[in-house]
Amino acid sequence: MSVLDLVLDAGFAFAVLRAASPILLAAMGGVLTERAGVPNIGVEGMMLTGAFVAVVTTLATGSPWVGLGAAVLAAAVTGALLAWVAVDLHADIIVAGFAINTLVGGGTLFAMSELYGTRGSIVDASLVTLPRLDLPIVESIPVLGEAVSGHNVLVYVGWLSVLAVAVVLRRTRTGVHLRAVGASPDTAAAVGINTRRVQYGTLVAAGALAGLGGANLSIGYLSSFTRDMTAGRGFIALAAVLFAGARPGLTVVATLVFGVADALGNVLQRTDVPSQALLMLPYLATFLAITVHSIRTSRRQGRPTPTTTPEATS
Amino acid sequence: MSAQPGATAPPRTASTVAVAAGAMALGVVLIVLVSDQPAASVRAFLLGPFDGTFQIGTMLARAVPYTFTGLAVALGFRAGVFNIGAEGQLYLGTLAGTAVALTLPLPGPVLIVAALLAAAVAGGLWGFVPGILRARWATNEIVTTLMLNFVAVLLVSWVVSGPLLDPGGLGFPQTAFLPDSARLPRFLPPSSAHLGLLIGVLACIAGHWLLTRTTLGYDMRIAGDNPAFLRYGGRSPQRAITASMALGGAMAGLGGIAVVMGEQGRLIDGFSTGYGFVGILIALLAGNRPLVIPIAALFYAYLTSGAAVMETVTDVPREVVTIVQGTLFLFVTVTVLARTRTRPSREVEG
Repeated sequence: MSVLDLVLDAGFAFAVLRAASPILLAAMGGVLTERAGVPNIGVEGMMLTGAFVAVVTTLATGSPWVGLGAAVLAAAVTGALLAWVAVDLHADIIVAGFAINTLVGGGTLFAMSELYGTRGSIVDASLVTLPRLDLPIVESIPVLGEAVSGHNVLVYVGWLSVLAVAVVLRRTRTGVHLRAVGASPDTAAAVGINTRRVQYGTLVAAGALAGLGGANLSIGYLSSFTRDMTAGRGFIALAAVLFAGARPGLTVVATLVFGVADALGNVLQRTDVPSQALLMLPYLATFLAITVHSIRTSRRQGRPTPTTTPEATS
Repeated sequence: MSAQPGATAPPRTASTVAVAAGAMALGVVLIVLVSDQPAASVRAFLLGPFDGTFQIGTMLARAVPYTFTGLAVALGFRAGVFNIGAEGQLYLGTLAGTAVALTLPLPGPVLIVAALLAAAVAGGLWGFVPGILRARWATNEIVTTLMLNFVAVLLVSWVVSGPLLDPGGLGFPQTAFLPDSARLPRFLPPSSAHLGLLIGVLACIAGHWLLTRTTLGYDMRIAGDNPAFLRYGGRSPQRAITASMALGGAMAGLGGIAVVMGEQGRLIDGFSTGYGFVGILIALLAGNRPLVIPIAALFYAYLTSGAAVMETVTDVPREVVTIVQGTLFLFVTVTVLARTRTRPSREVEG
């Protein structure tokens, strides 16, 4: 079977959707934080929190649902921590986001070494993963069913989250407040919006979504936890959001591009291309996408636009 | 566009020291909580790095890459860009320097200079690319430098397990040892303290001179503080931004090759323990002042050394230090940014 045959297979589309899904969930959180003007660089660490807590809790309780709940909760708390430092203590939100990533990266290793005496990975045959869902009717449609049906539940939660984020942003009072705070915190405060509550709420929600993305990776897509297993997916999600101008629909398209790069890497493993070159694909794709996007944007605006805006947290 | 007063305003040294002490106290509390022999663990963590010539030399060797990457990030910050790509710039620079040291038949000192230059140029190029993209098209340098990090690490991984694989290394992904003529002289035997430390300090002095005594340095500072002002004066923030990223990349590349030529002797896959990322913390701790960077680097080297000693003599894993590092990171800008800002704040937009 040639590479072309593999790519044109329904199984490839399935792999793309599966690979894009953790990124998609984190990216929906990113749409919210971008719109609210609280850029969340900590999304990588929040995903890793979700991935880790999901595995640990699932192993302890035997239930992936409890694991999922704990993962979402822990990641949401991480979001609240970032909000506290950035909103209340006026730390630089970008640096504090990195701090979250560092803390979680080290914290998970520390906890792994204390709990399981290992620093590599947690692999346990008794780890129960989230169930797969066969979509009624759809599953019997020839090619489409094969690509779309049979994913783990969080893949579908990811699709629903796009709808939810779009509706919240466009159709609800919360969404209007969120966008108002993002556009100008001072103006929003002047008309009586509680900006602090909006910023906290947004970061907590983004944390929860990133937690879902992390759990999707560790007890959905795979069934293990490995150190730094998110491997930049949070940053790729962030890039997808920037590329799409924080519009939910376009963000989906951007995450699919990265899903293709990821899945393509897996397919090409059967050729003699060095594995490192394949692993590079999603990062190169992200780099090129964000570069092309910025060139197009600044051409449209006629001149470079240094994106200095008022302090998001003030 | 608002002015960013933070870059040149004096950072609050006292509060930075307070944050550092607080983060260390948290580390000590953690150690006491998890250790079966808390007193010995805390002692090893706090005093271990000063336990004789070997430990002191090891600590000094550890400070070398941090000094260079701290300077790399600080140069970017001063010009108003967030260079998170020091890690990738370090990898690519190290690759070029190692290749030169392994292949060029040059006599000792010349070979060392050639390898250092190659590392600076390659690291500089890896910084120049996101720099010019940012300067010309406002491409978000946080995302581009991060992505280029992954690319550089994977590229090095491929080269050391393919073209430059050590033939006698049983397939372990690393290059052969560099010839003795390409090694940096050591001091404080038997530790691995080496000349790289002096080069790092000299680089910081040069960085200070650049920022305070040259036109380019002036442009860089104003590009960070108030780019509009620079434009009104008929000067280009674009050039200053690109230069700060390229120079930063060169510094990161030097930091990596110094580790190979002074300490490890060969390029090993994944040899950096996040040197580039620690550089961000070093720059912030030092308030982006080049002359303070070696001190901040030494402080961080002290922490990692303490954690390493503790891990060998007691039951506490060295990851405690990553938690201390994260805590430092989380709060360091609180103190600095409460009144002034180290870095122009802006949204992450492409």
